[in-house]
Amino acid sequence: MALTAAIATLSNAVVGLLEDARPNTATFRDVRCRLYAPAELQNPREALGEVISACVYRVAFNTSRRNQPPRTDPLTGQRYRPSVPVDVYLLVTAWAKDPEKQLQILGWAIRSLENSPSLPAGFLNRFAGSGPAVFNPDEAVDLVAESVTQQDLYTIWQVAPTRQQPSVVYVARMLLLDSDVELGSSGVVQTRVFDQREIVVP
Amino acid sequence: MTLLPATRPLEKFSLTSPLGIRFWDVGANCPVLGGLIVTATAPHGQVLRAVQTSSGGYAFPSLPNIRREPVAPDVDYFFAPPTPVRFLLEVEDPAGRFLPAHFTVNAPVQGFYSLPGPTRGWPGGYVPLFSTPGRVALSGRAIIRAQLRDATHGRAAAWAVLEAEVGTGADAVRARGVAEPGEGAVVIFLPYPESNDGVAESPPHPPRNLTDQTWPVRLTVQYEPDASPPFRPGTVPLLERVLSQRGGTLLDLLSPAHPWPGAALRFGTDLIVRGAGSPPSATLFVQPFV
Repeated sequence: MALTAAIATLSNAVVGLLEDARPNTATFRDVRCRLYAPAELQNPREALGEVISACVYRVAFNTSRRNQPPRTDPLTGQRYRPSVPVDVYLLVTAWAKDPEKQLQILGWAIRSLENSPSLPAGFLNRFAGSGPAVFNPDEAVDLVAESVTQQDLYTIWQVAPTRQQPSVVYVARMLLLDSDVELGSSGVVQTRVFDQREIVVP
Repeated sequence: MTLLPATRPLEKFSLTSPLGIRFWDVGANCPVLGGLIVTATAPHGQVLRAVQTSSGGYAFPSLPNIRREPVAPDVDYFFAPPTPVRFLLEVEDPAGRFLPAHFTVNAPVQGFYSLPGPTRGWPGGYVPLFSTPGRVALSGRAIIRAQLRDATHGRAAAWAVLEAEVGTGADAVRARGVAEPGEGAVVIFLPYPESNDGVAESPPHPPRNLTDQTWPVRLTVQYEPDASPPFRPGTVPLLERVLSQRGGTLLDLLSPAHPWPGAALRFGTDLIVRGAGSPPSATLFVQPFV
């Protein structure tokens, strides 16, 4: 149950997670963590530097539960239009001039993401900017490693066919984008009234 | 065009359900949407089972010795309700998520029933249910586990209420758990507090890895032995009695008595609160209120 800024906040949080986890060693001291747009894969910022990038290349509706019920506020009973569940696919890519270092960076990034497979709202909301909290305090987002076929990976990299780098894909599952459109609430029915009539035959 | 035929009134009457109950999952901090067996035992012993409604509540469409009709047509049922009858409500969870709960209700009740006394961690109009120690971990939530033993009698401190406060200041998160009757094991599920990024801390420090985040944990306990009878299968104290126990003291050593000093919760790791003594080393002792 999150505000519509959830996709952006989550993407920034993944980058922030890697930034916070960056070891203070000679290998990783100059590594930068960045959120890239797909077009930047062809012309990445800091092209000659050491970068670990996260790029949202796909957002898909999660169809495991199509008939989401209206969201109900348990405190007030107010009902809202159903939340929209989406899966966010992130391409995590390591960039470096030295291939050995590039692979070291990628290995470290995979390990760091796997160490925190569930991101709680207390962490995610740090990346929501100065606005209201995006995620409900009881909410968490699961990050799942996705095995992508070579063909799919090739297709993803069609935005930057000459710059393909070693990458992995993570999926943030079931982000629920909440609606603030209220539905009519009739309240709880405790008493039923039966009004019985007979048809008058003329 | 079809017109509705003319009608004349025959009879108008209304039926009221005398009791409806909703349950709150204290561990997940959300309503319980189903899977419970809820029964009401009348004073003369008759047992009725509640039906689950589409809104997730449990309703008793009728209860013995309580009329369902108002005193007169067109009069609100609760304008002149029938004489209240006291029922014992019993809640079981076949899936093993929640500890059993027993409580008494004077029916009929207008709206959803609320437990008497202040609500602490659950909203009004709900009855709280506490997690069993064996419940499957809830995704994204911190877990605190402990095993509580009565410092006076040496038996499990069954039905003691353990409250955790994690973090500091306005960002602190509070949650509760109840010790199960067999071994006194208790689990508390709670959301992680806001993570510290070092910006507001003094002295400043480099960003912390999420898995290195820690928060201080303070525990308090409510425990009275008379609310915690020696465990016998099927013996469940009333929920209102469990929640109104007076405060006890947590000890990590019995001799010499030494208060439990506190602990730290680390992100992604269950906190198992242990006492300093042995055996068994995982036990915390509870000095009941006297």
